[in-house]
Amino acid sequence: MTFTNVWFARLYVLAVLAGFFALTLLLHLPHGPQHWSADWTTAHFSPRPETQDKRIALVLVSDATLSAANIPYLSPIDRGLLARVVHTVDKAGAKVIGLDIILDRYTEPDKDEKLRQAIQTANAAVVVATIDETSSGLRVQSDFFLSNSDSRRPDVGHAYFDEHHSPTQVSDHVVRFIAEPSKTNPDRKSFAETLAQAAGEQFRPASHHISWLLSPKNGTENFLTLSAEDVLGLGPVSLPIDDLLRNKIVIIGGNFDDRDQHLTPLSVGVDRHFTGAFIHAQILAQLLDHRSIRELGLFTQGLMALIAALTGYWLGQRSEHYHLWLELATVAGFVIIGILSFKFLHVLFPYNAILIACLSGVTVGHYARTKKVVPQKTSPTLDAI
Amino acid sequence: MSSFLTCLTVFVLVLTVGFTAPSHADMLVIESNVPEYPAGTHLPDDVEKWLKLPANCFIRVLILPSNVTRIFEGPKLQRPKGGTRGINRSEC
Repeated sequence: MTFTNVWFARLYVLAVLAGFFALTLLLHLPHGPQHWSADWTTAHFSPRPETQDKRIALVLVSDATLSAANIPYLSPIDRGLLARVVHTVDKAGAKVIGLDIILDRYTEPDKDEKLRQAIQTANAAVVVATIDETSSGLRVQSDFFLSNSDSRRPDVGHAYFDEHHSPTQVSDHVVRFIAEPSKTNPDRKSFAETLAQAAGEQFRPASHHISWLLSPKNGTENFLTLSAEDVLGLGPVSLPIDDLLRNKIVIIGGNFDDRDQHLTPLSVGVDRHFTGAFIHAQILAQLLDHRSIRELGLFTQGLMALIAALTGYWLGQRSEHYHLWLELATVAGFVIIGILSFKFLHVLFPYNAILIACLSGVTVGHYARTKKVVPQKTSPTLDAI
Repeated sequence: MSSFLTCLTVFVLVLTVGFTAPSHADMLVIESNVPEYPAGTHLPDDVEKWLKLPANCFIRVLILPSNVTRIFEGPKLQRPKGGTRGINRSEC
């Protein structure tokens, strides 16, 4: 195709670009300001503490716990067992107890009552993880376990994570965000935020991106992790529970193969799932440490995209036939910038917007160059003809 | 004089060794699906140098006296295709 008009050629290139990007976006919209490199960066360049967190402990109920306690069923988890775990952790001197187990149905009345008593009469501040209740369905959480009584009402935080569900995007079910409250309970904060408040911490992170911690440098786990059967003294070892749990924020949760297991940016590359309790503990540690992952504002992102587009146009005008190398170098450069900004500034570099703007500029600049007119040499032979 | 020097040398040696010798941690297995190392077993603190666990095997230890936990794991098995369950944690 030949163009007699330069502006028509430029319009043609722009139209092709617009169609290309529209097709790309319709096929797979990006989940956030960064693309896959955000998870990779998170898994390799997040802060790595020296040793295990001394403020948070996990007590996990598992199949082994149910087996040790001679409980023949898994779901709902035996309320009498949970009451004993809460009571034991409280007796050990825990500062705050978080119960990350959904109590959305009645079971055996006497056991339900024992658990209710345990969470409402504990010396420690108790936070119960809840899910939203429908107005027409059972309201066991609010009508029974959390109902007002003569005892102290436990604090409540919502238990869900944000996995970025959207009708226009394919969710990869990776937990990356601290979930906002639902519309039905706008005042209800997340479980981890409520735990932090119960511990006297009011910090609000700059964005809802979770600031993850890598495993500690000395090889220990991020958080002290105990089996519920050991805490109850049902296991083969006798542990100094008081020394282990005193003055800590203790999250009681489940560790089962088929429920409450989640992918995170730390583990999506190796398909490893973490318990919900571990993820709540990560968010809690972030809040206690006052850590945030920052996102740039829309204006700043737009300004950076404009600068990237103009720079790309300028480079494209001068790229000659090195167009492909220029694009590859641009991609590599932005990945490096993304790593550096995450590592040192805790800022998510808006990779998608900047790259699209820059590559558009490069492409338009490259193909919209005005070619120099080289005077044709005339052949004396032909002239004679 | 020579006995004084000997005593001094021994004193310095004791001090040096006391300050430089690594403190030994006690690793108590508190959770395990490895038959060779059941809960209650004590492991030496150089265990990470020689312990090789098969796939899906794990040992969680409580390190004393620092009261921190550590987990040793073998390679992960693939989650079963088409199922909603993960790998059974008791299988090793």
